[in-house]
Amino acid sequence: MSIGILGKKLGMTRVYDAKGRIRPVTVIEAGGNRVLQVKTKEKEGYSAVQVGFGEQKEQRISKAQKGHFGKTSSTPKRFIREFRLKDGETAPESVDLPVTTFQDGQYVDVIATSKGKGFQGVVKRFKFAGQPETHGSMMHRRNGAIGNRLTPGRVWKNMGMPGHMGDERITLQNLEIVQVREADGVILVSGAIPGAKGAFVVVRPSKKKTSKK
Amino acid sequence: MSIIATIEKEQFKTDLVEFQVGDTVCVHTRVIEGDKERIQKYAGIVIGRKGTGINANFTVRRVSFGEGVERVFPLHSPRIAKLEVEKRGAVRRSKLNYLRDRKGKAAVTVKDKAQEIA
Repeated sequence: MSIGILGKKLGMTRVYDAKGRIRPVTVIEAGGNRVLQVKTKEKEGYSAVQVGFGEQKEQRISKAQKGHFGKTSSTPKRFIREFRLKDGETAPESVDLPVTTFQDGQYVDVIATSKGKGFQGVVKRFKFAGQPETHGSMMHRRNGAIGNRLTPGRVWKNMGMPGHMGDERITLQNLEIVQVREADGVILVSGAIPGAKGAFVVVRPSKKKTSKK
Repeated sequence: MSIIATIEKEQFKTDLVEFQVGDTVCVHTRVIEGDKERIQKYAGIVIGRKGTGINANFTVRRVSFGEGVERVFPLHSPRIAKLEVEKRGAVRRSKLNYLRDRKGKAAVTVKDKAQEIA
């Protein structure tokens, strides 16, 4: 996998494309990405690039972390992730990873943590239809039957039941980059992405779909 | 200014014509057919304005061959080449949805602003 960048979701807006059509976009702040460490097969057993994003106060990091950031003379970073390198891929020469890593029209995958919904019932969580609201029905939003009889004599795996919803890692694939704004350190990705405003996201080149151009 | 506000501001039209609900307008829209572009006019009464900033849009209603037609235009859309105000109307509602229930001449007329003042 080639190297991606980290960012912060700022919110959504809309932009007009060249044909005058409206495109809904998510604005991702992604300036100030920095390579913190290059891991090699010889030393760490696998090759990868560690990238940091977002400023962290000096008082909030341990001495060990301080030393780690000091190795590349970087300021303390809040959000750190690794990008694995395939055989033959080399780490970028510069320690800075600008937003221009991506181009307009390129396809990317966005990974983020979705908004937490708390403990939810099956209607919201698994889109169950529920039961009648009226006609004497006294059962409205319950999950109903969960099994059969002697065969199979157990509850199937992955049966939808109430429980915690949201706040999980979600990967959205094949989103188009609508605009890269170098001066603002911002990229505009087509459509919505998981998570709240201000949430950290990982943007990497798409695994499945390659760029139009 | 936040970056989102800056992005939106860049797309605002600077040459916006001021118009209100009740005005009769003519919207010159760019129509792309194949690789050719031409201007198509669409005239009618503004029956509502909605949204702010880049999300602002307006609805134009006209009666075309006896059939009521409504089109919603984004205010800042680059597909609108020009907007002309043909007549200023004097209305007391923000949405003129009552025009939908009217028939004949009453469906396409609102009070003239010039008359109201006089």
